[in-house]
Amino acid sequence: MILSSLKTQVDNLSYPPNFFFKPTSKNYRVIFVQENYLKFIMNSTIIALGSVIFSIGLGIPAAYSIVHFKQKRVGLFLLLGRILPGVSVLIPWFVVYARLKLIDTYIGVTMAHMIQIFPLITWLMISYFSEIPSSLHDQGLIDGCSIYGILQKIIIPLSTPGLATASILAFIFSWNNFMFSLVFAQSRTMTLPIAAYKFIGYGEIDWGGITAAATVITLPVMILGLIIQRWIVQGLTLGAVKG
Amino acid sequence: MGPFPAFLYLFNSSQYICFQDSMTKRNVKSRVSIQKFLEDKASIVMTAPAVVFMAVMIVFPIGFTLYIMFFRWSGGVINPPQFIGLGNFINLIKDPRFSNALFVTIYITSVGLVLQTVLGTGIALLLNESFVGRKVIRAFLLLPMMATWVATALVWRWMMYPRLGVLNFFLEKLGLPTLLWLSANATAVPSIILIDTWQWTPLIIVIVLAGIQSLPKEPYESAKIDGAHGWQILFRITLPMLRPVIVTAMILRTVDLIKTFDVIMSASQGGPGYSSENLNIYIYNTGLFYFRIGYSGALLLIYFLIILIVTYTLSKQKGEISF
Repeated sequence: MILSSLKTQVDNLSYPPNFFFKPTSKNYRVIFVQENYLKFIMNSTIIALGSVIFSIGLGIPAAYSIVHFKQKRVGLFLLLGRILPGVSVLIPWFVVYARLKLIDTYIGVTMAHMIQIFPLITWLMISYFSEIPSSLHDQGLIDGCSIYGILQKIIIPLSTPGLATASILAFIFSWNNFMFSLVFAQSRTMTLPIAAYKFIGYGEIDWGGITAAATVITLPVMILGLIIQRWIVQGLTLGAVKG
Repeated sequence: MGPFPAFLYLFNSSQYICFQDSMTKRNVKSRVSIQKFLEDKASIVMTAPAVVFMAVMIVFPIGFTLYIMFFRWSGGVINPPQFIGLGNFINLIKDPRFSNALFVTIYITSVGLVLQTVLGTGIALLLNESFVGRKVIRAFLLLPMMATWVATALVWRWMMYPRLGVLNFFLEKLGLPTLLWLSANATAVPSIILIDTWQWTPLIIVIVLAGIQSLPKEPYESAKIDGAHGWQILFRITLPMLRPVIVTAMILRTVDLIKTFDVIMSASQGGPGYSSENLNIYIYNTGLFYFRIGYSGALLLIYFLIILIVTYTLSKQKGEISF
């Protein structure tokens, strides 16, 4: 992929494929100058960061409460977002979004991404919180803290590493999200995967451009993925957690 | 942003509560009662924003689907939904595109599942043998899953390009007939399964590998004493003990394979014709491309039921095996 992103169109269309060629940066120039990929990178980042931050805000207290008060049913309910197929949410929300003029707004796309990001973060934090011994909670109680104070002053500082990996994983999921972005993110908030997808709409398929775009999209998540590789499997297997 | 501001308020006030509890006396009555409410109902207060958000985002669409499936509606404001009773379901039975989509879904799910499970388990067993560079290989295994799915599917599409693609080049070199890959009805779905297998077999590998490493050592020692050889150990000890792990991995893959979307959408868009269109893509097209929203509701109900039944049977399966 990276190889062909460095080729010219002529090299890419030669047959048999030549594996030795003169590298060119033309495809990347096309992407960044002509296609304005910086804007798509910005959009992807804003939406991914937004959905991660809001999901953490909603998810952490919920996760701690689910662990502390053993609210299994609530936990399973929150998992619905990962079991249900995206289309089932997509079509009704499209109708509502169209009325509320939320299509192609950052808030709208972020909310849609949260449907999948939020259960992910909540369940990762549930598994992380449940490893923290409850004696720490009791110590907090003795020191006169409410459950909110305990969460804020004891639990959250303790689980920073878990929180960081959960956020990175959720960031990758939002970055990669295709279905929701395809419908809700149109011209103004278009994210990277959609921009790459739109590339094939042209008459002549610019394979150098597509592969360059694919490289630009994938490189950041691959780097992030390598950083947190130990946690990825846990994140991907969340759907199987059954109480 | 929905329930977030309310939650933010609670969170800020929580700092205040903790500080006030320990440092000063509670002298303002109303504040005390708010505190008491927050303390007593903490389990509700903390989960409420999350539950409300999820309920709004998910329960509403389900309700809407269950309602709209009895109507004919193209999403317009001028033409309101028109009640047609079970009309959508009658159309559905007669719809060849629906039965095709159902077939493609079953096809992708079953073939993909078998292929990925066999390959994944096999490779995991091989990788368990210690050799140089194992850690590097494990890290590389994760990359296909992390890579943006659209991007990888687009690159596959390029490699499968009939006249210029790399895959046909290699087939020709090996003296095999070249294929049309995604451009022919017969090979479109297998090509999609191939891409999906490349992308998701690593998940099974990683899960099974983790399972192998957590297996107890004792059975192997006793097997050696009894004089069992390699294949016997594999089929009589390793695989039966791994069964719960493999089943878990299979459940995950099944649920995701039924929902395959990104790969098909970016590699073939369901084409050529409708040959690689699964239920997910068909529903998407019906609702958001042709704007037959009522009909898409009926399709969604069937799709829900399939997913629910499959998930339920699979989770029972798991319960029976993992004692």
